[in-house]
Amino acid sequence: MQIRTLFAGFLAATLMVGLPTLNQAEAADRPAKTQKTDKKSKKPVKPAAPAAAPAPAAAPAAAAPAAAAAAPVGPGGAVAGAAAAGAAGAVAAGALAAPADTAEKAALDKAIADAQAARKKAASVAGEWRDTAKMIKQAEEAGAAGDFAKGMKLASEAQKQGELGYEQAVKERGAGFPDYMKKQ
Amino acid sequence: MNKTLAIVMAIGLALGAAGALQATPQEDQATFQNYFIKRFPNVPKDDFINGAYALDPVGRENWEAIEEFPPYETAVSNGEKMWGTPFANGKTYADCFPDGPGIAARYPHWDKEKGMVVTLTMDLNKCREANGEKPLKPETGPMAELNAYIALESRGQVRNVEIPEDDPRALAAYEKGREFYFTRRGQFNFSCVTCHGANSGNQLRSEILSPAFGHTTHWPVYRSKWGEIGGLHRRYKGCNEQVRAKAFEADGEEYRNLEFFMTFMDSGLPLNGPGARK
Repeated sequence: MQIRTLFAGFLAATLMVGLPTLNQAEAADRPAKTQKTDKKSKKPVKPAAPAAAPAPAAAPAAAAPAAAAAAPVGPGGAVAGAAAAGAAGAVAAGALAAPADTAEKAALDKAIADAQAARKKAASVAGEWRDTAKMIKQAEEAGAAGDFAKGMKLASEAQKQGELGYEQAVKERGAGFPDYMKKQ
Repeated sequence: MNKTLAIVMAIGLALGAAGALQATPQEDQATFQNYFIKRFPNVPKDDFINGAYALDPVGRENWEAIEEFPPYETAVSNGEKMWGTPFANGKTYADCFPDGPGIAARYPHWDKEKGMVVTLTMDLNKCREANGEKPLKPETGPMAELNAYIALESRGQVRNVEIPEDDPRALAAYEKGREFYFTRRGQFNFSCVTCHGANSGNQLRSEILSPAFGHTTHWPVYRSKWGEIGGLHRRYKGCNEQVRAKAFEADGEEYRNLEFFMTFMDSGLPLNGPGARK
């Protein structure tokens, strides 16, 4: 009887301590989960508009302390600092996301240009492969839809195909009758 | 002085060795034909025109049954109609080809004036344009039908492709065609001979790979896969794409030279187009 009471008490105490901790952990983990869901749905995550969008829960973590430090300190300093941190976070989220978007696009544009150059080089020696141009087109389409990761993957594969096609054609120059035919 | 002499001798030896290594087209032809004749000793030489059906008795039986009511019959009728129908100016194909329509054995040939290999479809299109008509797509549709009629009228003719010795460009075109044939290409890294040389007669999924010898005699072909008649260059395109290489243009330089090489290898075989294949 005593053991049962003791165990029930221990369980209740564990739950009281553990549940809030779990909730906090889940709250902290939520943005990551949301991102995963977005990835699955294959819809590109558009960056929030700089001023209008609410601050994401985890995004402005780095920028917020600096904003808080710059906020006026006075009787309501703590509150003002927190509000400023939130607002600065929202601005920072937009400001950070936009250059990142541009940078990704620029990287993809370069990857596509490299792939196109590799394809043309292979074509110059009649070594182009069947799907290379198609992959470059798909990379461009992915980029236009904002799926830069997919675009990069396709452009990178297309570039590799172009390089391999060129190498293959150069290696095969002067191909002639195989030995097994000559030996007959 | 001694050094100069040694260099001259080395260059001479190198050139001599290169010349000795480079077989003539006639030697190539003998090598090519002998390989297949020895590989398939039970196949009479002229039977190579029937492709895989020369090797597979069951397939041949089915094919012969199909040939009783050939699927290319409509194409031949349409082609015959085209041949006899006057152009807008009142002239016909017969005005361009007075010896026609049985003219398939003359193609492809080396055109010294143009400095290139000329195919039958090119000359048919040239005839059309000379008479104010638009050229046709070379490997499908009405052109393939016109070719089917010409092929039927040319059955039994023996084609002997010539490589004029007085024009080195002709030999160069032949050599380009030969190189194309043996060049591995595409993501699968296959050449034409990968399937139709050492692997001819072997089974690829449900199909028996046909020997290269005789490949050019029976075109155009009604392929069940296409559901219509098509030309040799269409098949070239299909083969290139199957190995995941980018195909070339029908009647473009690559396929013209390839056809030149392949028909030279098949010299001496009778024509038996149009054909029916899976």
